[in-house]
Amino acid sequence: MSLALAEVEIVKLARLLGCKPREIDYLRQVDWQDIRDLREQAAATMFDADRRQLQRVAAATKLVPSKVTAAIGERAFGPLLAARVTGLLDPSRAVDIAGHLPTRFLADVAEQIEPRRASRVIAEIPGRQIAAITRELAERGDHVTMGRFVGHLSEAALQGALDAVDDETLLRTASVVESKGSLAALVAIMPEERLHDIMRTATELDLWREALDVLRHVSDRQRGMLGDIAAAQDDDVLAGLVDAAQRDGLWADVLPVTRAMGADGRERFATLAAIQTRPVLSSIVDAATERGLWADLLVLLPLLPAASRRRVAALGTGLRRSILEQIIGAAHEQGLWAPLVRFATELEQRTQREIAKIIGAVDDDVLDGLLDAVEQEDLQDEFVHIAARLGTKDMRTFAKRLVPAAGENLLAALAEAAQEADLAALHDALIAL
Amino acid sequence: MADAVDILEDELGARIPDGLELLSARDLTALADLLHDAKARQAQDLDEGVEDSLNFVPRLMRGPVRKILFG
Repeated sequence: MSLALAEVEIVKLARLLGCKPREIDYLRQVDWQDIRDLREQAAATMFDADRRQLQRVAAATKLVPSKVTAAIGERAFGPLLAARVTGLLDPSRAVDIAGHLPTRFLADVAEQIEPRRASRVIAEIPGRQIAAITRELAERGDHVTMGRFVGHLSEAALQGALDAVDDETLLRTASVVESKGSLAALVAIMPEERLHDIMRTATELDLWREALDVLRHVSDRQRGMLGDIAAAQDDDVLAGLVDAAQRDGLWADVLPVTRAMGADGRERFATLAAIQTRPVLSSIVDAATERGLWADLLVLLPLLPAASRRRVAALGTGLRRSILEQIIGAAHEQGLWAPLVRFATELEQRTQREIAKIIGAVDDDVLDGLLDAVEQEDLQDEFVHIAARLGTKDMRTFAKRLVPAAGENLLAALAEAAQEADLAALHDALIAL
Repeated sequence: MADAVDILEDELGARIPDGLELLSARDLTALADLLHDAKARQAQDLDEGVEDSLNFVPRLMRGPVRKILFG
Protein backbone atom coordinates (compact mmCIF):
# COMPACT_ATOMS: atom_id res chain seq x y z
CA MET A 1 0.00 0.00 0.00
CA SER A 2 1.25 3.47 -0.61
CA LEU A 3 1.81 5.76 2.28
CA ALA A 4 -0.76 8.51 2.50
CA LEU A 5 0.69 11.99 2.33
CA ALA A 6 0.02 12.63 6.03
CA GLU A 7 1.71 9.38 6.94
CA VAL A 8 4.81 10.32 4.94
CA GLU A 9 4.98 13.69 6.67
CA ILE A 10 4.59 12.02 10.06
CA VAL A 11 7.55 9.74 9.28
CA LYS A 12 9.69 12.75 8.34
CA LEU A 13 8.66 14.76 11.40
CA ALA A 14 9.31 11.79 13.70
CA ARG A 15 12.84 11.51 12.32
CA LEU A 16 13.44 15.18 12.95
CA LEU A 17 12.14 14.97 16.50
CA GLY A 18 13.92 11.69 17.20
CA CYS A 19 10.74 9.80 18.12
CA LYS A 20 8.77 6.92 16.66
CA PRO A 21 6.05 7.81 14.11
CA ARG A 22 3.41 6.19 16.31
CA GLU A 23 4.25 8.67 19.09
CA ILE A 24 2.84 11.45 16.91
CA ASP A 25 0.13 9.39 15.27
CA TYR A 26 -2.47 11.92 16.43
CA LEU A 27 -1.25 14.16 13.61
CA ARG A 28 -3.11 11.93 11.14
CA GLN A 29 -6.20 14.04 11.74
CA VAL A 30 -4.30 17.11 10.48
CA ASP A 31 -3.94 17.99 6.77
CA TRP A 32 -0.59 16.79 5.37
CA GLN A 33 0.38 20.30 4.30
CA ASP A 34 0.03 21.52 7.89
CA ILE A 35 2.23 18.66 9.09
CA ARG A 36 4.81 19.59 6.44
CA ASP A 37 4.64 23.25 7.52
CA LEU A 38 5.11 22.19 11.14
CA ARG A 39 8.13 20.07 10.19
CA GLU A 40 9.70 22.93 8.29
CA GLN A 41 9.15 25.26 11.23
CA ALA A 42 10.63 22.69 13.63
CA ALA A 43 13.63 22.10 11.34
CA ALA A 44 14.26 25.83 11.13
CA THR A 45 14.06 26.36 14.87
CA MET A 46 16.31 23.37 15.58
CA PHE A 47 18.86 24.64 13.10
CA ASP A 48 18.69 28.19 14.44
CA ALA A 49 19.05 27.01 18.04
CA ASP A 50 22.63 25.87 17.38
CA ARG A 51 23.44 27.86 14.28
CA ARG A 52 26.45 29.65 15.76
CA GLN A 53 28.03 26.45 17.03
CA LEU A 54 27.33 24.63 13.76
CA GLN A 55 28.94 27.49 11.84
CA ARG A 56 32.04 27.22 14.03
CA VAL A 57 32.26 23.52 13.28
CA ALA A 58 31.92 24.22 9.55
CA ALA A 59 34.67 26.86 9.77
CA ALA A 60 36.97 24.52 11.69
CA THR A 61 36.73 21.87 8.96
CA LYS A 62 38.68 24.21 6.68
CA LEU A 63 41.78 23.71 8.83
CA VAL A 64 41.63 19.93 8.83
CA PRO A 65 42.21 17.51 5.93
CA SER A 66 39.04 16.07 4.41
CA LYS A 67 39.91 12.57 5.51
CA VAL A 68 40.20 13.68 9.16
CA THR A 69 37.01 15.73 8.91
CA ALA A 70 35.23 12.65 7.57
CA ALA A 71 36.45 10.61 10.56
CA ILE A 72 35.30 13.35 12.96
CA GLY A 73 31.91 13.49 11.26
CA GLU A 74 31.42 9.77 11.48
CA ARG A 75 32.84 9.06 14.93
CA ALA A 76 32.46 12.26 16.96
CA PHE A 77 29.35 13.92 15.53
CA GLY A 78 27.24 11.19 14.02
CA PRO A 79 24.77 11.45 11.14
CA LEU A 80 22.36 14.02 12.59
CA LEU A 81 24.97 16.69 13.32
CA ALA A 82 26.87 15.85 10.14
CA ALA A 83 23.60 16.47 8.26
CA ARG A 84 23.16 19.84 10.00
CA VAL A 85 26.72 20.97 9.17
CA THR A 86 26.63 19.80 5.55
CA GLY A 87 24.62 22.74 4.28
CA LEU A 88 27.12 25.15 5.85
CA LEU A 89 30.14 23.70 4.05
CA ASP A 90 31.57 24.82 0.76
CA PRO A 91 29.97 22.33 -1.70
CA SER A 92 33.22 21.09 -3.27
CA ARG A 93 34.74 20.61 0.19
CA ALA A 94 31.64 18.74 1.37
CA VAL A 95 31.82 16.47 -1.69
CA ASP A 96 35.48 15.80 -0.96
CA ILE A 97 34.68 14.88 2.65
CA ALA A 98 31.81 12.63 1.53
CA GLY A 99 34.31 10.81 -0.68
CA HIS A 100 36.02 9.58 2.50
CA LEU A 101 32.86 8.34 4.21
CA PRO A 102 31.30 4.89 3.97
CA THR A 103 28.04 4.56 2.06
CA ARG A 104 26.22 3.29 5.15
CA PHE A 105 27.04 6.48 7.06
CA LEU A 106 26.11 8.69 4.10
CA ALA A 107 22.75 6.94 3.93
CA ASP A 108 22.30 7.70 7.65
CA VAL A 109 23.12 11.35 6.94
CA ALA A 110 20.68 11.34 4.01
CA GLU A 111 17.91 10.28 6.40
CA GLN A 112 18.57 13.31 8.58
CA ILE A 113 19.43 15.99 6.08
CA GLU A 114 17.11 18.79 5.01
CA PRO A 115 17.74 18.63 1.25
CA ARG A 116 16.77 22.25 0.72
CA ARG A 117 19.48 23.43 3.12
CA ALA A 118 22.12 21.31 1.43
CA SER A 119 20.89 21.52 -2.15
CA ARG A 120 24.18 22.78 -3.63
CA VAL A 121 26.15 20.02 -1.95
CA ILE A 122 23.70 17.30 -3.06
CA ALA A 123 23.81 18.55 -6.64
CA GLU A 124 27.61 18.14 -6.75
CA ILE A 125 27.88 14.62 -5.35
CA PRO A 126 29.04 12.29 -8.15
CA GLY A 127 26.45 10.03 -9.76
CA ARG A 128 28.23 6.81 -8.73
CA GLN A 129 28.15 7.84 -5.06
CA ILE A 130 24.48 8.84 -5.28
CA ALA A 131 23.83 5.45 -6.87
CA ALA A 132 25.58 3.66 -4.00
CA ILE A 133 23.66 5.64 -1.35
CA THR A 134 20.43 4.98 -3.26
CA ARG A 135 21.14 1.24 -3.29
CA GLU A 136 21.69 1.35 0.47
CA LEU A 137 18.46 3.28 1.08
CA ALA A 138 16.58 0.91 -1.24
CA GLU A 139 17.84 -2.06 0.76
CA ARG A 140 16.49 -0.35 3.88
CA GLY A 141 13.16 0.22 2.13
CA ASP A 142 13.56 3.92 2.89
CA HIS A 143 11.46 5.36 0.06
CA VAL A 144 10.71 8.48 2.07
CA THR A 145 14.35 9.58 2.17
CA MET A 146 14.91 8.82 -1.50
CA GLY A 147 11.77 10.76 -2.31
CA ARG A 148 13.12 13.85 -0.60
CA PHE A 149 16.22 13.98 -2.80
CA VAL A 150 14.70 13.63 -6.24
CA GLY A 151 14.26 17.35 -6.85
CA HIS A 152 17.81 18.14 -5.76
CA LEU A 153 19.90 15.73 -7.83
CA SER A 154 21.77 16.53 -11.03
CA GLU A 155 20.57 14.70 -14.13
CA ALA A 156 23.60 12.40 -14.03
CA ALA A 157 22.96 11.60 -10.36
CA LEU A 158 19.27 11.02 -11.03
CA GLN A 159 20.19 8.61 -13.81
CA GLY A 160 22.57 6.82 -11.46
CA ALA A 161 19.85 6.54 -8.83
CA LEU A 162 17.33 5.25 -11.39
CA ASP A 163 19.72 2.56 -12.52
CA ALA A 164 20.37 1.56 -8.91
CA VAL A 165 16.79 0.67 -8.00
CA ASP A 166 14.26 -1.85 -9.22
CA ASP A 167 10.85 -0.91 -10.59
CA GLU A 168 9.04 -1.54 -7.32
CA THR A 169 11.38 0.77 -5.40
CA LEU A 170 11.04 3.35 -8.12
CA LEU A 171 7.23 3.31 -8.00
CA ARG A 172 7.10 3.42 -4.21
CA THR A 173 9.64 6.26 -4.14
CA ALA A 174 7.99 8.26 -6.91
CA SER A 175 4.71 8.27 -5.01
CA VAL A 176 6.34 9.91 -1.97
CA VAL A 177 8.57 12.37 -3.84
CA GLU A 178 8.47 15.61 -1.89
CA SER A 179 8.83 17.94 -4.82
CA LYS A 180 6.14 16.60 -7.15
CA GLY A 181 7.25 19.04 -9.85
CA SER A 182 10.46 17.05 -10.26
CA LEU A 183 8.61 13.90 -11.37
CA ALA A 184 8.50 15.27 -14.91
CA ALA A 185 12.33 15.40 -14.97
CA LEU A 186 12.45 11.86 -13.62
CA VAL A 187 10.12 10.53 -16.31
CA ALA A 188 11.97 12.50 -18.99
CA ILE A 189 15.22 10.58 -18.52
CA MET A 190 13.65 7.12 -18.37
CA PRO A 191 13.90 4.95 -21.48
CA GLU A 192 10.58 3.76 -22.92
CA GLU A 193 11.47 0.14 -22.26
CA ARG A 194 11.79 0.88 -18.53
CA LEU A 195 8.41 2.59 -18.53
CA HIS A 196 6.85 -0.51 -20.10
CA ASP A 197 8.44 -2.67 -17.39
CA ILE A 198 7.24 -0.33 -14.65
CA MET A 199 3.65 -0.61 -15.84
CA ARG A 200 3.84 -4.38 -15.81
CA THR A 201 5.30 -4.17 -12.30
CA ALA A 202 2.44 -1.88 -11.27
CA THR A 203 -0.01 -4.64 -12.14
CA GLU A 204 2.05 -7.52 -10.78
CA LEU A 205 2.64 -5.84 -7.42
CA ASP A 206 -0.61 -3.90 -7.23
CA LEU A 207 1.12 -0.53 -7.43
CA TRP A 208 -1.11 1.34 -9.85
CA ARG A 209 -2.04 3.82 -7.14
CA GLU A 210 1.62 4.81 -7.00
CA ALA A 211 1.95 4.88 -10.79
CA LEU A 212 -1.15 7.03 -11.20
CA ASP A 213 0.19 9.45 -8.61
CA VAL A 214 3.14 10.03 -10.92
CA LEU A 215 0.84 10.51 -13.92
CA ARG A 216 -1.02 13.21 -12.01
CA HIS A 217 2.10 15.33 -11.68
CA VAL A 218 3.80 15.10 -15.06
CA SER A 219 3.22 17.38 -18.05
CA ASP A 220 0.25 16.83 -20.38
CA ARG A 221 2.58 15.63 -23.12
CA GLN A 222 4.22 13.11 -20.80
CA ARG A 223 0.81 12.02 -19.51
CA GLY A 224 -0.22 11.27 -23.08
CA MET A 225 3.03 9.44 -23.79
CA LEU A 226 2.71 7.36 -20.61
CA GLY A 227 -0.96 6.75 -21.38
CA ASP A 228 -0.03 5.41 -24.81
CA ILE A 229 2.60 3.14 -23.27
CA ALA A 230 -0.06 1.89 -20.84
CA ALA A 231 -2.52 1.36 -23.69
CA ALA A 232 0.09 -0.76 -25.51
CA GLN A 233 0.27 -3.22 -22.62
CA ASP A 234 -1.31 -6.65 -22.61
CA ASP A 235 -4.91 -6.93 -21.47
CA ASP A 236 -3.91 -8.29 -18.06
CA VAL A 237 -1.80 -5.20 -17.32
CA LEU A 238 -4.62 -2.87 -18.27
CA ALA A 239 -7.09 -4.97 -16.30
CA GLY A 240 -4.81 -4.41 -13.31
CA LEU A 241 -5.05 -0.67 -13.86
CA VAL A 242 -8.85 -0.84 -14.12
CA ASP A 243 -9.09 -3.02 -10.99
CA ALA A 244 -6.94 -0.60 -8.99
CA ALA A 245 -8.83 2.46 -10.24
CA GLN A 246 -12.13 0.83 -9.37
CA ARG A 247 -11.08 -0.47 -5.96
CA ASP A 248 -9.22 2.64 -4.81
CA GLY A 249 -11.44 5.27 -6.42
CA LEU A 250 -8.76 6.52 -8.83
CA TRP A 251 -10.85 7.26 -11.92
CA ALA A 252 -10.31 10.97 -11.47
CA ASP A 253 -6.61 10.24 -12.08
CA VAL A 254 -7.22 7.88 -15.00
CA LEU A 255 -9.66 10.01 -17.04
CA PRO A 256 -7.19 12.86 -17.75
CA VAL A 257 -4.70 10.22 -18.89
CA THR A 258 -7.13 8.78 -21.43
CA ARG A 259 -7.74 12.23 -22.79
CA ALA A 260 -4.02 12.90 -23.18
CA MET A 261 -3.48 9.60 -25.06
CA GLY A 262 -3.24 9.33 -28.82
CA ALA A 263 -6.34 8.19 -30.74
CA ASP A 264 -5.22 4.55 -30.98
CA GLY A 265 -4.43 4.27 -27.28
CA ARG A 266 -7.71 5.88 -26.32
CA GLU A 267 -9.67 3.52 -28.53
CA ARG A 268 -7.86 0.52 -27.06
CA PHE A 269 -8.67 1.76 -23.57
CA ALA A 270 -12.33 2.51 -24.37
CA THR A 271 -12.88 -0.98 -25.73
CA LEU A 272 -11.19 -2.86 -22.90
CA ALA A 273 -13.47 -5.58 -21.58
CA ALA A 274 -12.69 -4.56 -18.00
CA ILE A 275 -14.17 -1.08 -18.58
CA GLN A 276 -17.55 -2.21 -19.86
CA THR A 277 -19.18 -3.34 -16.61
CA ARG A 278 -21.91 -1.29 -15.01
CA PRO A 279 -20.02 -0.72 -11.70
CA VAL A 280 -16.92 0.52 -13.54
CA LEU A 281 -18.88 2.79 -15.87
CA SER A 282 -20.83 4.06 -12.90
CA SER A 283 -17.62 4.94 -11.04
CA ILE A 284 -16.27 6.69 -14.14
CA VAL A 285 -19.43 8.79 -14.48
CA ASP A 286 -19.31 9.62 -10.75
CA ALA A 287 -15.66 10.69 -10.99
CA ALA A 288 -16.38 12.85 -14.04
CA THR A 289 -19.33 14.46 -12.27
CA GLU A 290 -17.69 14.98 -8.88
CA ARG A 291 -14.35 16.18 -10.20
CA GLY A 292 -15.48 18.23 -13.18
CA LEU A 293 -13.99 15.80 -15.70
CA TRP A 294 -16.82 15.51 -18.20
CA ALA A 295 -14.63 16.91 -20.95
CA ASP A 296 -12.40 13.86 -20.50
CA LEU A 297 -15.39 11.53 -20.54
CA LEU A 298 -16.91 13.18 -23.61
CA VAL A 299 -13.72 12.36 -25.52
CA LEU A 300 -14.01 8.73 -24.49
CA LEU A 301 -17.78 8.31 -25.04
CA PRO A 302 -17.90 7.94 -28.82
CA LEU A 303 -15.30 5.18 -28.60
CA LEU A 304 -17.23 3.03 -26.13
CA PRO A 305 -19.16 0.06 -27.51
CA ALA A 306 -22.84 0.92 -28.08
CA ALA A 307 -24.03 -1.12 -25.09
CA SER A 308 -21.64 0.73 -22.77
CA ARG A 309 -22.67 4.10 -24.18
CA ARG A 310 -26.26 3.20 -23.40
CA ARG A 311 -25.20 2.26 -19.88
CA VAL A 312 -23.49 5.62 -19.47
CA ALA A 313 -26.58 7.32 -20.85
CA ALA A 314 -28.71 5.46 -18.30
CA LEU A 315 -26.31 6.61 -15.59
CA GLY A 316 -26.57 10.17 -16.91
CA THR A 317 -30.33 10.06 -16.55
CA GLY A 318 -31.56 12.53 -14.01
CA LEU A 319 -28.26 14.37 -13.65
CA ARG A 320 -28.84 17.62 -11.80
CA ARG A 321 -29.19 20.80 -13.84
CA SER A 322 -25.93 22.15 -12.42
CA ILE A 323 -24.10 19.05 -13.66
CA LEU A 324 -25.67 19.30 -17.10
CA GLU A 325 -24.59 22.95 -17.21
CA GLN A 326 -21.09 21.83 -16.28
CA ILE A 327 -21.10 19.28 -19.12
CA ILE A 328 -22.38 21.83 -21.64
CA GLY A 329 -19.73 24.31 -20.45
CA ALA A 330 -17.02 21.68 -20.91
CA ALA A 331 -18.30 20.83 -24.41
CA HIS A 332 -18.15 24.51 -25.36
CA GLU A 333 -14.76 25.27 -23.84
CA GLN A 334 -13.08 22.14 -25.16
CA GLY A 335 -14.77 21.97 -28.57
CA LEU A 336 -16.60 18.76 -27.70
CA TRP A 337 -20.08 19.58 -28.97
CA ALA A 338 -20.27 16.62 -31.33
CA PRO A 339 -19.77 13.91 -28.70
CA LEU A 340 -22.12 15.74 -26.34
CA VAL A 341 -24.92 16.11 -28.92
CA ARG A 342 -24.61 12.45 -29.93
CA PHE A 343 -24.54 11.36 -26.28
CA ALA A 344 -27.57 13.53 -25.50
CA THR A 345 -29.66 11.64 -28.04
CA GLU A 346 -29.11 8.49 -25.99
CA LEU A 347 -30.37 10.07 -22.76
CA GLU A 348 -33.97 9.69 -21.67
CA GLN A 349 -36.50 12.39 -22.57
CA ARG A 350 -36.60 14.29 -19.30
CA THR A 351 -32.83 14.83 -19.30
CA GLN A 352 -32.90 15.74 -22.98
CA ARG A 353 -35.55 18.37 -22.21
CA GLU A 354 -33.38 19.77 -19.43
CA ILE A 355 -30.42 19.97 -21.80
CA ALA A 356 -32.56 21.69 -24.45
CA LYS A 357 -33.72 24.23 -21.86
CA ILE A 358 -30.14 24.96 -20.82
CA ILE A 359 -29.07 25.34 -24.44
CA GLY A 360 -31.99 27.70 -25.00
CA ALA A 361 -30.65 29.95 -22.27
CA VAL A 362 -26.90 29.86 -22.95
CA ASP A 363 -24.90 32.92 -23.95
CA ASP A 364 -24.74 33.80 -27.65
CA ASP A 365 -21.15 32.67 -28.07
CA VAL A 366 -21.99 29.24 -26.63
CA LEU A 367 -24.98 28.89 -28.96
CA ASP A 368 -22.82 29.97 -31.90
CA GLY A 369 -20.27 27.27 -31.01
CA LEU A 370 -22.98 24.63 -30.85
CA LEU A 371 -24.57 25.64 -34.14
CA ASP A 372 -21.18 25.69 -35.87
CA ALA A 373 -20.57 22.14 -34.66
CA VAL A 374 -24.07 21.06 -35.78
CA GLU A 375 -23.42 22.41 -39.27
CA GLN A 376 -19.85 21.17 -39.63
CA GLU A 377 -20.41 17.73 -38.12
CA ASP A 378 -23.79 17.20 -39.78
CA LEU A 379 -25.62 16.87 -36.48
CA GLN A 380 -28.96 18.34 -37.60
CA ASP A 381 -30.88 15.11 -36.92
CA GLU A 382 -29.46 14.77 -33.40
CA PHE A 383 -29.99 18.46 -32.68
CA VAL A 384 -33.66 18.54 -33.63
CA HIS A 385 -34.21 15.31 -31.72
CA ILE A 386 -33.15 17.09 -28.52
CA ALA A 387 -34.89 20.39 -29.27
CA ALA A 388 -38.14 18.53 -29.92
CA ARG A 389 -38.31 17.60 -26.23
CA LEU A 390 -39.21 21.18 -25.34
CA GLY A 391 -42.79 22.18 -24.67
CA THR A 392 -44.55 24.25 -27.34
CA LYS A 393 -43.90 27.60 -25.68
CA ASP A 394 -40.27 26.86 -24.91
CA MET A 395 -39.78 25.54 -28.42
CA ARG A 396 -41.06 28.74 -29.96
CA THR A 397 -38.72 30.77 -27.78
CA PHE A 398 -35.88 28.44 -28.66
CA ALA A 399 -36.60 28.69 -32.38
CA LYS A 400 -36.61 32.50 -32.08
CA ARG A 401 -33.12 32.35 -30.67
CA LEU A 402 -31.91 30.15 -33.49
CA VAL A 403 -32.90 32.53 -36.26
CA PRO A 404 -30.32 35.26 -35.69
CA ALA A 405 -27.68 32.71 -34.65
CA ALA A 406 -28.01 30.13 -37.43
CA GLY A 407 -27.52 30.97 -41.09
CA GLU A 408 -30.24 30.45 -43.63
CA ASN A 409 -28.82 27.14 -44.80
CA LEU A 410 -28.63 25.69 -41.32
CA LEU A 411 -32.17 26.82 -40.49
CA ALA A 412 -33.46 25.15 -43.62
CA ALA A 413 -31.51 21.99 -42.82
CA LEU A 414 -32.89 21.94 -39.29
CA ALA A 415 -36.46 22.42 -40.53
CA GLU A 416 -35.98 19.60 -42.99
CA ALA A 417 -34.52 17.35 -40.32
CA ALA A 418 -37.49 18.13 -38.06
CA GLN A 419 -39.91 17.28 -40.84
CA GLU A 420 -38.18 14.01 -41.64
CA ALA A 421 -38.29 13.05 -38.01
CA ASP A 422 -41.99 13.86 -37.78
CA LEU A 423 -41.29 16.63 -35.33
CA ALA A 424 -44.06 18.81 -36.61
CA ALA A 425 -44.09 21.28 -33.71
CA LEU A 426 -40.39 22.07 -34.13
CA HIS A 427 -40.67 22.17 -37.91
CA ASP A 428 -43.58 24.60 -37.67
CA ALA A 429 -41.78 26.76 -35.15
CA LEU A 430 -38.74 27.03 -37.45
CA ILE A 431 -40.80 27.60 -40.57
CA ALA A 432 -42.95 30.26 -38.89
CA LEU A 433 -39.85 32.37 -38.45
CA MET B 1 -6.00 24.97 24.92
CA ALA B 2 -4.64 28.50 24.46
CA ASP B 3 -1.83 27.66 26.88
CA ALA B 4 -0.88 24.56 24.93
CA VAL B 5 -0.79 26.56 21.67
CA ASP B 6 1.40 29.19 23.36
CA ILE B 7 3.80 26.55 24.66
CA LEU B 8 4.21 24.96 21.22
CA GLU B 9 4.55 28.35 19.54
CA ASP B 10 7.27 29.30 22.04
CA GLU B 11 9.19 26.14 21.13
CA LEU B 12 8.64 26.66 17.41
CA GLY B 13 9.39 30.36 17.49
CA ALA B 14 6.48 30.80 15.09
CA ARG B 15 2.69 30.57 14.83
CA ILE B 16 1.55 26.99 14.54
CA PRO B 17 -0.07 25.99 11.21
CA ASP B 18 -3.83 26.52 11.38
CA GLY B 19 -4.66 22.83 11.00
CA LEU B 20 -2.96 21.99 14.29
CA GLU B 21 -5.79 23.64 16.13
CA LEU B 22 -7.68 20.38 15.60
CA LEU B 23 -5.36 18.77 18.15
CA SER B 24 -6.14 18.48 21.82
CA ALA B 25 -4.18 20.46 24.40
CA ARG B 26 -2.53 17.21 25.42
CA ASP B 27 -1.30 16.48 21.89
CA LEU B 28 -0.05 20.02 21.41
CA THR B 29 1.84 19.88 24.69
CA ALA B 30 3.29 16.49 23.72
CA LEU B 31 4.54 17.99 20.47
CA ALA B 32 6.09 20.91 22.34
CA ASP B 33 7.83 18.45 24.69
CA LEU B 34 9.18 16.39 21.79
CA LEU B 35 10.56 19.49 20.11
CA HIS B 36 12.04 20.74 23.36
CA ASP B 37 13.73 17.39 23.99
CA ALA B 38 15.01 17.20 20.40
CA LYS B 39 16.61 20.63 20.72
CA ALA B 40 18.13 19.75 24.08
CA ARG B 41 19.50 16.47 22.72
CA GLN B 42 20.94 18.20 19.68
CA ALA B 43 22.66 20.81 21.83
CA GLN B 44 24.12 18.16 24.12
CA ASP B 45 25.26 15.98 21.18
CA LEU B 46 26.85 19.02 19.61
CA ASP B 47 28.72 19.93 22.78
CA GLU B 48 29.96 16.38 23.20
CA GLY B 49 30.78 16.05 19.50
CA VAL B 50 32.80 19.25 19.47
CA GLU B 51 34.74 18.14 22.56
CA ASP B 52 35.31 14.68 21.13
CA SER B 53 36.30 15.96 17.70
CA LEU B 54 39.54 17.42 19.07
CA ASN B 55 40.77 13.90 19.78
CA PHE B 56 40.77 13.24 16.03
CA VAL B 57 42.53 16.45 15.05
CA PRO B 58 46.30 16.13 14.56
CA ARG B 59 48.07 17.57 17.60
CA LEU B 60 49.67 20.44 15.65
CA MET B 61 46.27 21.71 14.46
CA ARG B 62 44.43 21.45 17.75
CA GLY B 63 45.22 25.00 18.91
CA PRO B 64 43.78 26.79 15.87
CA VAL B 65 40.83 24.38 15.65
CA ARG B 66 40.06 24.83 19.35
CA LYS B 67 40.20 28.58 18.87
CA ILE B 68 37.60 28.43 16.10
CA LEU B 69 35.37 26.00 17.95
CA PHE B 70 35.42 27.72 21.33
CA GLY B 71 36.22 31.29 20.38
